[in-house]
Amino acid sequence: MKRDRQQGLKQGKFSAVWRRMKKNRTAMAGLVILIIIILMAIFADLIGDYNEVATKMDIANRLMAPMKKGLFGTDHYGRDVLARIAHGARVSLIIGFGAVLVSLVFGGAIGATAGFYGGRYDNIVMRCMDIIMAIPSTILALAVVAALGGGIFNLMIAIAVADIPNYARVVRSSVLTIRNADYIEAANAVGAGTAHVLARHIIPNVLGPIIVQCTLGIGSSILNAAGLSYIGLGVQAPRPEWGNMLSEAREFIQSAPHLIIIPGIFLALTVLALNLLGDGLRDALDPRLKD
Amino acid sequence: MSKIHTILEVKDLRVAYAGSGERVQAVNGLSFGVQEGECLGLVGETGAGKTTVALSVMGLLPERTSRIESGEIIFEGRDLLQCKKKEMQAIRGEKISMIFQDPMTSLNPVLTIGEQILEGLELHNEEKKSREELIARVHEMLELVGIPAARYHEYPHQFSGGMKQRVVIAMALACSPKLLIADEPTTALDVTIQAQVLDMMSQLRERLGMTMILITHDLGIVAEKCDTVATVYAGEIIEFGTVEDIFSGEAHHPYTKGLFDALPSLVSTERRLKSIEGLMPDPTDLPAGCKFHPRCPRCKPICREREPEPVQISQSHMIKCFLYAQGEEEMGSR
Amino acid sequence: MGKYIAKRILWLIPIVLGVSFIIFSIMYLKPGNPAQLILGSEATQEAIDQLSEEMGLNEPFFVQYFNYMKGLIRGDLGSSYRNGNSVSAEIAARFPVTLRLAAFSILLVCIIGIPIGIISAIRQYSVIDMVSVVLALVLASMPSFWIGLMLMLLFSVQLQLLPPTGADSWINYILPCLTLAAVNLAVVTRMTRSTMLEVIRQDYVRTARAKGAGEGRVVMKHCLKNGMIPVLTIVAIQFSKLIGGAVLVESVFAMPGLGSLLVTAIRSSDTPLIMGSVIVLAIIFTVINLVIDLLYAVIDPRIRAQFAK
Repeated sequence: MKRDRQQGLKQGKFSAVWRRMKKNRTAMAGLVILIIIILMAIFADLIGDYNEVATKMDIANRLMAPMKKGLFGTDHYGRDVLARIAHGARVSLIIGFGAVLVSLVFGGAIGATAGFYGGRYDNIVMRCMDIIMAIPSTILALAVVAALGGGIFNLMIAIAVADIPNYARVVRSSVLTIRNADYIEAANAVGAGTAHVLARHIIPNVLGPIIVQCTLGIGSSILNAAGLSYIGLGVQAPRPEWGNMLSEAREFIQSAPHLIIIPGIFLALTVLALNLLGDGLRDALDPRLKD
Repeated sequence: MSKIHTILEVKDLRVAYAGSGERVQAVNGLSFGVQEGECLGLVGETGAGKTTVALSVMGLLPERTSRIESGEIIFEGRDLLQCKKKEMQAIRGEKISMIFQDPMTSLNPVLTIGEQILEGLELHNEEKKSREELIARVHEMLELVGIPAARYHEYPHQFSGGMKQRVVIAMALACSPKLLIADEPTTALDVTIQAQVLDMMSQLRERLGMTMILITHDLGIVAEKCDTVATVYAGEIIEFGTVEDIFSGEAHHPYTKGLFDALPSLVSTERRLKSIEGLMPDPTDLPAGCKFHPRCPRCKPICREREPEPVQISQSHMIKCFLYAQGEEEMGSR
Repeated sequence: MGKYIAKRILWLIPIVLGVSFIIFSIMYLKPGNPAQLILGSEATQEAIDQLSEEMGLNEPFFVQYFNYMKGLIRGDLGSSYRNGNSVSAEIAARFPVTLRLAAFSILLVCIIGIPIGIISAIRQYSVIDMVSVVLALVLASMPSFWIGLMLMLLFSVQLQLLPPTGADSWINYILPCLTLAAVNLAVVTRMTRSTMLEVIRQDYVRTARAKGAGEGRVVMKHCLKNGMIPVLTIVAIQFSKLIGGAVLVESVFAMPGLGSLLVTAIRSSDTPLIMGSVIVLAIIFTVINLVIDLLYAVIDPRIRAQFAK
């Protein structure tokens, strides 16, 4: 029976957050856009087969304007832009989610232990994070890519490495604030063990800021990945990715501006959706913070 | 009895806050007057609308979320509610000053205390005094509140809570205002410091011949420092009188009586303090009739239906309660 | 105060050591033999071995790192694998372009973003506020290089007003600076707005009003100084993004700056050049942060008081 009640409480908190989210129109708009893009990525092969459409050259139909051939026209090799956008969504989302997952796991572990144990360990670890943060993140990612080479997985790692200190900091500071909060002292005072305090009090309370940071982090990871691909160090052609599509299109800025406009709009839309969702989540998780 | 000049008169003031769909009626047709040179105490629970009254007089209500629905605030023959922004700026700090509750947060952390006291003088420098003269005045003010003038160049974080409140007082008194509104000036301070600050305030008040409105929930302070007292409940004044009327008079509003019963007394033989049953009514949904009736131990049927009119018990003593109403309104009692 | 500055400058040493160590390690992990790279694919194994020996590539990791650091202290960052030029000289030649780009952009960000943020906060929910909030959200979601491409499309291709590439005159800097500023502008505006909103609600602002201060004075004298610290922090963080963004924007507009130098170096696996550019960029960034930390002290007496201890 006690378990039932706890379950109920948890559900209550989740549904309260969801209820507040539903009222936030911009956040819901972000969610809808994101779902559409995720669906597009999942069903990319239905929109246009990877081998048969997205990467198949058709020189006769090169640089076609939107609507003339396919919804978004064709690129300089006559490949269908819509199909490439859909397959690009797949790559961007995988890198975005993947990079955040990697940096969350490492950064979270570092930050949580630093915050929880404190002392000299905390000091040394956080100084190391400071040093990593002294390198502008794009530059660090560039250096890692330079060492590891391009490709989806390496790109993911490169972007994640540069982000680890951010997650470590967020997690550490939330652990610290909560660790020193009165209700933790109260829990300790009634004799709750470390594991119990961690599981029942710290983790549920740290979750909020982390979810927000992750949502916003996916967006910035996608932007970083696109940037690296744009300068030719990320996802390599012929695999379509929004960044490298823009890079290839640069030459044709005069003759086929749609090749620049369309991938950019999708990039911006995806990131905007994630930002709206992240902001909405922040407000929903902690209504006091709103403005 | 000589006719004394009324310096401030608030008439039928109604203020509402509107935030996120809810409308909060903070002040509900409240009226009172302050005679020149006296000290009026506004007492009541948190949320009774005392601070809102003070902010209305100052013209400092939050612009977007609050609305003055009706009323007049007559100060020196002028209705402050009709004054333009610029006119109010000229009055604020010069003629009417205010001391806020929390000295920890009411000083700007990045300016020296001297600069902050000086600012008010500069803003109201009609006589075009030189900067040196104004700074000399700041030094004078600092000494007056018991702070060495040498601390002019120090920042708020270098002062303790009590000292900060002294700075705030120096700031409020710098232009020798006619009226000083002190909103719970000592609530945030240590008990030992409270008395010091209060004593200093009343000494300065007497020396400068200032009129004061003291907002507090501490009846002890009221008894000691005030000449007249107004009890505020749910945005209304339900009892008004001299300190003698309130503290030793026979007739009282049941709420005021409740406040006194909640005080520990050295002479009383009672074992337990009485508390007033229930909570302040929800200002978004005030009860009909007398606002106090749901908590009133002497509630009559009529209290639920009609709002009581103010009853003049004596020339100086007013109570808003059916218990003291004459004639047909007494039909509720058997 | 002087003691604090000295302390902060000393803190630069572990940062530079740490940064160079991290970059050196990353580069050390890089597959492929530099000697092979320099000599080309037709070189004999003997020649490769000999060059590796000369370059000290057979030494243990820490010896190599130590040697590199010895050079760094003397300002010698080694020589490019590609053309044998001194890395320091290459960087020095490219540095002014990036510096100009970054400085003008951040200036643009501050002189546009901060006032708009302040106006937005004072006139919350006004038209200006709404527009700036929406614009900030949209701009922050766009990739910098794409904004660059779009500006190029509009001003160079369609309107033919501004040159699309190069760095020969100040006209060439207009589009890149606008691009870099756009993204960062959004963040700074938002931050200024939310900070000012918070400051305006503080008790001491009400105190200032109670003294009879007018709206302008309240904002300029009481709010600005208090609001500037979080804004400065965000400007510093943005500067790091700006340096990263400069790499991309320099590529878009083909500007011969540090960023494009780095990209070419990576493309051609020119390790000394990569390492040199990254370390120089990191040092610049650290110095900027130091300057901003010192600015805090100028603004806030409480921070100054901590230094004095």
